[in-house]
Amino acid sequence: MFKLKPYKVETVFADCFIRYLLVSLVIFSSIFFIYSFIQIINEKDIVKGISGYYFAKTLLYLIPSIISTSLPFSIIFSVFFAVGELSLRGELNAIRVGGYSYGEISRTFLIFMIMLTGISYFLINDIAPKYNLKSREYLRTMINRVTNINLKSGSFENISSFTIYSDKIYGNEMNKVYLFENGRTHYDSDFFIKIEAEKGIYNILKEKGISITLYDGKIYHIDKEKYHILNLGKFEEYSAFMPFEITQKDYYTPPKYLKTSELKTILKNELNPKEIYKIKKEITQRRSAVVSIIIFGIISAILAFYFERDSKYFAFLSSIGIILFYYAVNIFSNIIAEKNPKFTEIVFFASPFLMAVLSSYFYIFKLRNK
Amino acid sequence: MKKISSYITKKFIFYFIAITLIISLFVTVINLFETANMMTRKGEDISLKNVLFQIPYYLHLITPLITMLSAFMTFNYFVSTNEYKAIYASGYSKTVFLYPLIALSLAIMLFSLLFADKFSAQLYRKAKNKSEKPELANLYIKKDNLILGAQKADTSGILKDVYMEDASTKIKIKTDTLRWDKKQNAWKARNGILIEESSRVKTSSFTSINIDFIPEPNIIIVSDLTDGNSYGIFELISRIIKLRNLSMKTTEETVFVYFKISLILINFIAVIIAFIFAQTDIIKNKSLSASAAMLISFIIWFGVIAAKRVADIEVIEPYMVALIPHSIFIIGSLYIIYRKKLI
Repeated sequence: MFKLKPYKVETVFADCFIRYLLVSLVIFSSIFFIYSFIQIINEKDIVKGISGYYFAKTLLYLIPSIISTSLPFSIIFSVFFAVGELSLRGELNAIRVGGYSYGEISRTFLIFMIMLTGISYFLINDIAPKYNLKSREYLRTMINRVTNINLKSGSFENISSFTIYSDKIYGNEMNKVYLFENGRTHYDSDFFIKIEAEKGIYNILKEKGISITLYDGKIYHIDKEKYHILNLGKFEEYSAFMPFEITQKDYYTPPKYLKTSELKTILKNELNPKEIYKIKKEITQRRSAVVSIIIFGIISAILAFYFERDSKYFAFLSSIGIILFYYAVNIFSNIIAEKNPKFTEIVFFASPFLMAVLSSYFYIFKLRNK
Repeated sequence: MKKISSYITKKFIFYFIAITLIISLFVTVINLFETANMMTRKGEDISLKNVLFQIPYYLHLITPLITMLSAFMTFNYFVSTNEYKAIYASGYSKTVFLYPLIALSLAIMLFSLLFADKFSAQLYRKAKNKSEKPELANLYIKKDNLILGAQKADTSGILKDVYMEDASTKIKIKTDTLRWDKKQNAWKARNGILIEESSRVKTSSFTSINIDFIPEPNIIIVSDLTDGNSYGIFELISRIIKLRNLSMKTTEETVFVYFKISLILINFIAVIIAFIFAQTDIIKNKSLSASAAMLISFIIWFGVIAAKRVADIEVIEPYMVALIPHSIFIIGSLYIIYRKKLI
């Protein structure tokens, strides 16, 4: 008869598992967080537009995605370590002697895994893509702008349509300055300006640009469509403002960054076969990832119970083995899907399916008779 | 060399080779998976050559981790077999382990600097096949009396929307195109204006003229640095010299040089840290030692990467990429050695 309140022995495994799960979730999330940090900071074009605020937001919004990635790893390791601990303390033996089957020992654990799968469903389909997109937007903003300019003596620096050079820079004062501008007038006429000055000063206006004042110099203005005309003049003081380059571009949003509900809506009206394939692939991969959560829990529990007397090294190696197996089959599925798109909606379930078959085999032929 | 030093050296080399082989296997499998994944996404065929060519680069990158793991495992061996007690009983001090390991770390550093860095960069360049962009935007140079600016420049010698001036003759030219004529060994400018400034200013427009005050393309055109990992330290240094001669910015290249030096220097820090850990109970357990070695390598590596990125945005000078993290590691290690009286 099904009891709502489980016996204490039925919760021992689940309690131990949850404790390990929380710890490993923190550890794996931290590892992935640091990995993401390094990946973002290694983006080549980020340095010229980097901002602490945008950078923090980019990382912060990645947390749901990081948790959903860490979850399978954490489950596998937690199951093996929980069973290992119970076995080491002799508790598992005591429970088994008390007449409890592996199914009964794992009942609360299984209920917890079903709940975790439900949570993962929302995390993988809704929350992670939504915040992934926000993170990507902040990253794009940093990549598409040039706000981090440092003028140095004896080298050219490009700032939007300007290029500036100074023989000597000390503080915000410059000696022997050259300023070039390749611009376009309101009448769509291209022009070139060269300014040379004996001295100058500059001020960086945060996130806006550089204001510059030049003293004692000459200005050359050339209309690129009328080379026979040169405008030339001398000045005692000349001021200019060089705005930082902030490009606002519209980007294609890959399916990875859209909620499953949004993908389904797009799919209804999409005519491009390539795009249909991409969307279907993304939706299937998400479904497969959700199913894998409970499968990971079950296969790990079955293997951990079966090999409970083996060392912790074996537990560790088994965990790695399951993860490698899962990803190898996934990559293989990806290759099949790329070559035969009609299999997309089936092939990504190969990993969880094979693991489910393996679990059933171990449970029916090995663990049940143990 | 003393017999004991030779014994320790042999143990370290054994672990170094074994760990290198195991990690190579891991790197190959992970890289194969990653490449296969990326290629299928792009719809390209998997190139095994590319996978293999990238392995030396990754191995070179994680050599400090291999050194640290080997040092930890060497100490673990002596502690777990109690051989260290026999060594101390023979009258040796704790430094008997330290000196051979320092010598070995210096050898690894030298090997990395002179051979591994160049070799791995060359193969990485072949694997990536994108170290240089053929066309670059906004090329501005100043070399001796010459100032030249082009909106677009091609490494083969085609420049567009060009401004040039020769301070010695006081000639300034603005032209649509500047092209290197290989047959005549001369630059040809098309459509533009020529300004001569002596006692008075003279201007003349032209459709085609020859320019003789600009050096050959390979002297004045330097392609963009798309990936610093594709260059060895010495290649980067020669690039820096060339760029400086042209008054071009060298921050990225300089940071990369110090970053690479910084990574190589970790090999030295690795054995010092292993020596410190050898005095704790952690070293008795193999898996704990390996975990500690990996964790510490990761922290150090993270520190070096963080310093590199701070230098990239020019908050700190490039040399600080090597100076700051290693000063912290060395001072921290020396402080622990002094406080715990390890030597």
